[in-house]
Amino acid sequence: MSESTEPVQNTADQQGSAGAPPNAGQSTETQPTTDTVNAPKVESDPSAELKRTHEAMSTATEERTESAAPAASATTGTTDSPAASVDIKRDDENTISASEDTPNPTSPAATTAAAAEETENNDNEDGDDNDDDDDDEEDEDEDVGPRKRQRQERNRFLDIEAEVSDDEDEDEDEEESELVREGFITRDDEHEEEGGHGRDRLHRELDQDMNKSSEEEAQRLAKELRERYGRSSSKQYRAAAQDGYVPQRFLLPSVDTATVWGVRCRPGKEKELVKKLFKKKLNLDRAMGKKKLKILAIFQRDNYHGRIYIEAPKQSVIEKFCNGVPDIYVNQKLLIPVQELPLLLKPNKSDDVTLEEGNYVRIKRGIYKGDLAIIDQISENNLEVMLKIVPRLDYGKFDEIDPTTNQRKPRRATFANRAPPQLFNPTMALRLDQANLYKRDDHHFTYKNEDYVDGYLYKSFRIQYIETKNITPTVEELARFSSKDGAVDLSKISQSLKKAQASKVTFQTGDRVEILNGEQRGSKGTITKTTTEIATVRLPQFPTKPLEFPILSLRKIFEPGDHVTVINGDHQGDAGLVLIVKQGQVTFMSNQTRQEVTITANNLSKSIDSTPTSSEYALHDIVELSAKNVACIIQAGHDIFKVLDESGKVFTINKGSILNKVETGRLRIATIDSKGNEIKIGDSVIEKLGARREGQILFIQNQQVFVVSKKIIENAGVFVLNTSNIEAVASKGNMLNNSLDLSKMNPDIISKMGPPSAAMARPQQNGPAREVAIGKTVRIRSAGYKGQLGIVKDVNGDKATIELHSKNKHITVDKRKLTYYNREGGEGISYDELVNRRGRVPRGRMGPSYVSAGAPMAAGGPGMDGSSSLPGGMTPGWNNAFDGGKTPAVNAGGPGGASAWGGASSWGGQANGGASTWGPSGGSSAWGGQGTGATSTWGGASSWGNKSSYGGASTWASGGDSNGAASTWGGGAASAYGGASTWGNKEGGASAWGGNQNKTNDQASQHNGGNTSTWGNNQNQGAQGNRSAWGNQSQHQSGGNSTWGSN
Amino acid sequence: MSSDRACMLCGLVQTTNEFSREGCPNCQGIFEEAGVSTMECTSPSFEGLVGMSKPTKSWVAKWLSVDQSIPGMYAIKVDGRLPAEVVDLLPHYKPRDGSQVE
Repeated sequence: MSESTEPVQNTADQQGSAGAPPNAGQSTETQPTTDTVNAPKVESDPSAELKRTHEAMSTATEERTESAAPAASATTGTTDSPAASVDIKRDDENTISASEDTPNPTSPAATTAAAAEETENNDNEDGDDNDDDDDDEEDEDEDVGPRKRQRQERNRFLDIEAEVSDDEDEDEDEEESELVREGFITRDDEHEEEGGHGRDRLHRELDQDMNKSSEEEAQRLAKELRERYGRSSSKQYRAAAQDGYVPQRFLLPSVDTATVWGVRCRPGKEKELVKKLFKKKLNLDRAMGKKKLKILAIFQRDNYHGRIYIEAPKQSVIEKFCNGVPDIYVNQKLLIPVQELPLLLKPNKSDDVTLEEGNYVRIKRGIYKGDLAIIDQISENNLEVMLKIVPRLDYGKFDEIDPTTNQRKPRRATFANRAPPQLFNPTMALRLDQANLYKRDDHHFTYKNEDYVDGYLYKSFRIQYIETKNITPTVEELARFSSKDGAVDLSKISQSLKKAQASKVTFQTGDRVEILNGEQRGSKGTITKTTTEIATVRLPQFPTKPLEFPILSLRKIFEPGDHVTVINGDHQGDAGLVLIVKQGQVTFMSNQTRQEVTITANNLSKSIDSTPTSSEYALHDIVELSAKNVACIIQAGHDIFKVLDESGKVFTINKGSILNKVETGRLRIATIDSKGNEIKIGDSVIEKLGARREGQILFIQNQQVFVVSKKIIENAGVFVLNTSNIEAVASKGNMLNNSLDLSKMNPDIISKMGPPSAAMARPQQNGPAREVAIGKTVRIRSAGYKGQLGIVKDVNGDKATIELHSKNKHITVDKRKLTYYNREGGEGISYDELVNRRGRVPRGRMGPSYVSAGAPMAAGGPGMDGSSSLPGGMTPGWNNAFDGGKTPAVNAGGPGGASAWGGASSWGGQANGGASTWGPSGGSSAWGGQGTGATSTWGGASSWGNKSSYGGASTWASGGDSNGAASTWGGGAASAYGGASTWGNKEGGASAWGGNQNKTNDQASQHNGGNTSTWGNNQNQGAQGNRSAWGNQSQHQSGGNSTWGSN
Repeated sequence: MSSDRACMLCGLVQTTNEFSREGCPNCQGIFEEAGVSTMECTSPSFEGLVGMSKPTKSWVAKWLSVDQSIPGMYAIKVDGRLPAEVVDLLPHYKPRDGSQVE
């Protein structure tokens, strides 16, 4: 040490003298000191030097006292005067020791001896010091006594350099005096060394100068203070004011420094126990004298029930200490892990809500106990709050009036008999209790010494009487508050609900956030990782090291123009463009409602997508609004939908009013268009009248069809049409195979093209037509369900889907492996036959048709039977051919069979039975068509009619000539139509017949019965008298038939 | 209990009477210097009671920054705000009401 200090001293000295001149007065003052200090360096004899120094000191001390005091205070970082006075004293002593110490360099041995002496000396002085200064350090340390200290000190002394630098920061208060002294030693050394401390000295001198004037004053004050409050106060003052600010994290406990035990105790007794134990500790200390228990601290926290904590280095001490104290369970104790200690001693509980004006709170006591209140003001010291309350007043209604003295005795308002909350009513107060009412102005009253403004009570409460946590105001309560001043400030509620909400806040990686509190408060960064509680944020100022923050202390950042989606709360699912961002509240324009919505930033998330839609309902979905009403969604939001209902009305509904979604994909709803064509969902249709809008069918509801077009923008392309205003353009199922030839569908064109040939007729039917099998009753011929009856629901290629009669099941079978039946039963036919039937070739089905044909025919039935034997196949052939037609026509006289071809209509008439008979046979729809108006299919028939020259007849005739008629009619059933050919043969008859037909037509228009007779007559004339018999037939079918048959 | 108050500066818990009679044994000097009354600097609302028997040795004391104070009862959390005059005197004052998050 000595070797190292020596050279430094020289340089320091030079510097010191170099540094001195700027301050002339200073240098002269300090000069003597320097001399004394310098002296030993020249002299080599320490003992002599000692003496000399002492002498020099005695003279120098007076001068130095002034200068050294502030200097010393500077070394300890002290600038205040009260402390200075203490230091001054020390300085004096220290100077002596220091100057005595200085000779050390020259003779180490002597140094130690001198040092030892000095230390002894110092100790005595220190002892005095301690009496003054360190009242609070007795206890164990005194057990060890001065010897220990001496030892420490000596060590310290030998290690001055290191100690100086270390000890400046750490203040171990016990050694404080020594530290200061050592500080002085170094300082004194500096005078010799100066070295690196030259600057320090400069500062000191400067301080000295500056403080000089105020010094005396300060000393006086310090003395005064010391007299009044003893040393502790000034010390604390110094500690609080001048101690370098030590961030809490440097105080974090380690296993060596902190041993805290948690001890179980009776819940509710914690505070009492802490007090009791502390008292016990003090008593023990007094009683035990030197032998004291090492109990450092005892504490409790309100949010840890049934526990007290004791800081003590040893477990056994606690047992000894707590022995005999009731309500404490010493056996149940555990060492608190050091990392949990800071949490245990955190000043604020995690769920604390900071008081802010405008927050909602609840009152804990008094008649307003449990009532909601709004913080109006917070007192300066944060201890009282002015609350805005909805008053509960009875205006003295229940006051008792003493009958004798006529004095009012106000009823004491208690929680039990409190009045319902109601805004202050000045009129009531004036009427009932005028004495206590003072009017300040129109809105401000004082009633019973309490202030009422705008009807609300403003009253001051202590913060311990209000509840600030997890306040969830009910709507009623809010309504009471908002009744006057309008809007409810939801943001304030959200603040009160901070915790509940915070748990829901979701931060995502990449979110931009602002840190709300802590050291990085105000910084903005990007989230790189999140957990439920903690988010890792990369801040621009620490680009390499992301920091972790509790999620509670983060707030998302948005900027006007951002597209955001609400992820929490009432508006969840809404989205829009941010308009304003103000204090964490983001206002955005909702895409759905076109309204401005203001929401806490943390409930939003940035989104690229436009309005998010509900997962349940999407655009163009058909939804049920009630049992009878359906609508099509034309704008889908998350919770709000715009729909178009079947009447074409557009309105907005919310999700709740939708019953359910209609699965159009599975439905087999079909209807017919204006032309009678079957149309079903997915078919392309065109509007017949009006705008000729084209589109695909979305849904069919009764007579209304929802159609969507991609070309139309209005209502998302959806419009509603009546079936009568629709023309089918293409059917979904057949579109692929068949090109459309509308001309073929038009009977007029077809008829103009000449007599319908078989070649023409068939495609005409089959072209755009639907699968013939659909809707038919069938019996299954294939394995599995063989023999079961069902209805064909769908045909896809060769596969027919059949709904079984026997059970509710759909099966798929080859359509050719089915036997097709009339609904009434009867004989089944194969698929091919069925297809043929569509070619209007009835065959072998007449029997049943008769059967079903209804009464008139039935009546004739037996006759027929009789006759049937005669004509054999013929008659039936006839019957078949005309049967429907003719016979009834003949009959028609009877049933009043319609007009003309009454035939036709009478067919219709017969169609009662006949049509149905035909229907199943194949051409049902065609016939049906006829039935309805004798148009399309039997348009053929109409074409008959058209052929005024009995074109029909001629056709027939021609057909008859070439037997073509037979073929025509024969369709596929030539053999059966053998009858026809027969008929054809009777050509003349036919012509005659034709002629008759003319008449028939004529008369038909007038009279059916006449027709028959005419016809009958014709027959008679044309060929055989038998005809008359036929005519008879007309009257008596059976007879007629037989007669005819004989022909 | 209800008459107890805690010093907002050091956290010492005493009865109201004691405070008004003798002030805060730790901080009275500062209060005097700031020219405020002791009552202004103490709070009836506090939480977490610590019986501090050896402030110089205790880590708890260090953590609560009462290691320079006298032994006694201290509060861990003291609600309330010191008058500005006092705060101005203390550059490194740490409020004890939990408002400072570290």
